[in-house]
Amino acid sequence: MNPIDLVWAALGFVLSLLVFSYLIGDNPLFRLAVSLFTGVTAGYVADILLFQAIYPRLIYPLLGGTVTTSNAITHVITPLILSGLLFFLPTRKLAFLGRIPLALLLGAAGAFTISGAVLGTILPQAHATIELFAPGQMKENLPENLVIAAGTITTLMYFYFGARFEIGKPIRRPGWIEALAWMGRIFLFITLGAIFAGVYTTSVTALVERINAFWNIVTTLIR
Amino acid sequence: MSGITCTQCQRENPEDALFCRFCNEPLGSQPSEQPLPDETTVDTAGSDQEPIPDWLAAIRDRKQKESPPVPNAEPAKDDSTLETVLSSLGGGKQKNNMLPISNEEGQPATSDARQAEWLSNIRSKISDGKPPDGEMPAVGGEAGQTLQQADEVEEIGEPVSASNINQPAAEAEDALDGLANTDKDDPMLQEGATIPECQPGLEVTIDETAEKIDSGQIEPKSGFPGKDAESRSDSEETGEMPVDLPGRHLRAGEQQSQSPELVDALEDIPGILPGQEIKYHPPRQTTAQSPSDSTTARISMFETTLLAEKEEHGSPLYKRSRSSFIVRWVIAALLLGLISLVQLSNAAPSRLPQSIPVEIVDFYTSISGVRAGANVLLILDYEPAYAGEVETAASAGIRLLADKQASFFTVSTSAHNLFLADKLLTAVNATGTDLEVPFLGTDRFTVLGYLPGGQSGMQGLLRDFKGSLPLGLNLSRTTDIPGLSTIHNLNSFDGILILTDNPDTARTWVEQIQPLLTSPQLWMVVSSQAVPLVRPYIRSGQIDGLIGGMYGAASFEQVLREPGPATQLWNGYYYALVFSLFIMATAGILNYLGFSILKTHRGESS
Repeated sequence: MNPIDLVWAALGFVLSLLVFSYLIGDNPLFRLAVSLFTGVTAGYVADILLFQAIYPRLIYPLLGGTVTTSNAITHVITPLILSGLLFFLPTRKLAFLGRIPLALLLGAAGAFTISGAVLGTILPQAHATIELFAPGQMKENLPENLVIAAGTITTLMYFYFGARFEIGKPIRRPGWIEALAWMGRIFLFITLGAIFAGVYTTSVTALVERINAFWNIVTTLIR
Repeated sequence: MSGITCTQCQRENPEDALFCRFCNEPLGSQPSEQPLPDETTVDTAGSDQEPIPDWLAAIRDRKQKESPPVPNAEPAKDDSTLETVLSSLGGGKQKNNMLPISNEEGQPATSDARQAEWLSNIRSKISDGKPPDGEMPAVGGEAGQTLQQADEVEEIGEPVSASNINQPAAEAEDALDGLANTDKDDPMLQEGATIPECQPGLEVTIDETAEKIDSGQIEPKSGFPGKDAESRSDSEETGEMPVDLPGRHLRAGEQQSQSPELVDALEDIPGILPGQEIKYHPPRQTTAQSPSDSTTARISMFETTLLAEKEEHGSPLYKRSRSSFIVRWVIAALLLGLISLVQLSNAAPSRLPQSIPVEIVDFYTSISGVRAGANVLLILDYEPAYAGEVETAASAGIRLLADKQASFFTVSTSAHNLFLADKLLTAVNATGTDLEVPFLGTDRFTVLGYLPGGQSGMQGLLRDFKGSLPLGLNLSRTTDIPGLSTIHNLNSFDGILILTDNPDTARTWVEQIQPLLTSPQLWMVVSSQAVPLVRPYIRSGQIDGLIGGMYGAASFEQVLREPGPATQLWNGYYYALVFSLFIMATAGILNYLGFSILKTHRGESS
């Protein structure tokens, strides 16, 4: 291990100890590590955005001569105008101009999200669930397929919140939906439990990896 | 804020209010515990008060001399007859609604002790069964007239309704009140001004009074001082006779003696002239006034919801006890000691995964099918905090691709993940010392940098890869990178490996690029926390392989039969999880037993 790597390893070890000090509660050492990480991250991100987003997409096309007459409007002028309009957001009278690019951003993001969710998740997942009961695949793993189908249907029923309002009676869903929703709640419990177990497992893995790295450094120094 | 509480609705009103602003109940009948404002009193003895005019002092002195000694104006508690007669004279409730006045000693008058001297005379007259000896109070003639009318009516024995009597009585009270609250700027009260003579013993009849009122000599006043137009309109709506109409003193049979102009003027007022019926307009039945039960229930539910939303629910303060603090430290120390001991022991990994998940097998099968020298896009979208787990999980797969002489191109949609690319390859090289070709510093490993735009950036990669990433990390043109000469869009790659710790990021990548992918394989390496939400995409066939967390990495190394970083960390990982399960189970049992014992003790004590 060369000296530079040793310094970085020692620094990482000290910072890990500072983070571990949160075991005794919030303290200045922990806040120092967090502040250091936040500050370094902010500076690094600003640098990356400047050289990886603004320069390649706004300045480089102009300086590098990649802009032609045909794509000037779409590649440079339009982004430049929309970016410039964002500077009007803090003003009071011309803030509406700054909301134009924001509206475009939100609309595009919504369009991408909806189309992606429909084409990339809802339809394929529904198709996969239905396909479990295709004539050719129904005999294979039938219990597992039934559990998957039951979990899908009952979980969807749990999120059905329509109910009829009647005087003198509590607002409840229809009985059969209530029963399915009760089953769906069990599947939700299991899912949330699995997610919690995954989060804990991730934390344990990070802890084990850090302790292993620490002892590797120590043993390297000893040798 | 000090105010007057309404006896009807129990709401607070300003201290100078005459009527309740909520229910319009007169507030003059407040008990004496409400202190009267100082402005209503005239304190002649106080040196700090404004001195009263000489003429007023003279009037008071003369009145004191002329008036017989009046017993204390305490209400006769045992004289029900007197109270009945007084109530018929003053109108009961209306008597109590009169403005408070001050007595001659300058003390604030209360509702029980505000009777003036002349009123005491009336009382004595009634109790004795003869007219009072005293004269009318030395006040303005108008008040004297009205009270004299009351005497006259009683003497001649005419049937007089209370409404005919209480109004003049109220006028008298009003006049007294006005006298007590005289304005010092009034020219009549200036020094040297002529004081109008009192008219004691003025004998008028009620008919004469009515004529004077009608001719304008006497200004009629409302029965309730301060009664506004709104209350009148209310009384009209409910069918009551307005109390302050000009012709209210007329009785049946007297209309003929009035002037034609007066009759014409009164014709338009319903219920005044004989033979006219009072038109009663019942309240309209609308849905707002009589809502249905369903509407009422909905309104109630809505109001309940609003009330619940307005309630502040502070977050419960949780203060750890000292014992829990100690237990936490003990558990942390045990866990750290156990992991350190296991990792330092360098023991052979035990209890490695025996059942290989399906997605691991798919991952191996898919990578095995990639051609040699394939172009693989590495998408690094994990936080640095999870680098240890993700890099450990991805190490075996990257080494397998490296064995196939693959070229790697890295992209990240997170700006602070770029340095992780070099770290990843360093970690892979450190564990895979048997790699045939070193990757760092060669053309087979290219960091393309940050991909801005999020979802639109992902879509851009599908259309024009190099157009979406015009410059690399070292600001070199992507069009000049030799390895990208054959890359036009994402479908030009042989495989796409997504490394992430966030299930939402994994889902976004799948949703945006998978439906349009034709040839490249799509693999994922995710942390343990993302596995439950990513696994459905394996079952639907949208992902060709998945390694999830330490368990997946160890399983993949089992498949490869090449111990890697996951195998090195496996013992510490395994025993840490076993210890955690033991702590959870023990804590759960102790918690259950503790609560059971506590419940038993509480049951016994109760």
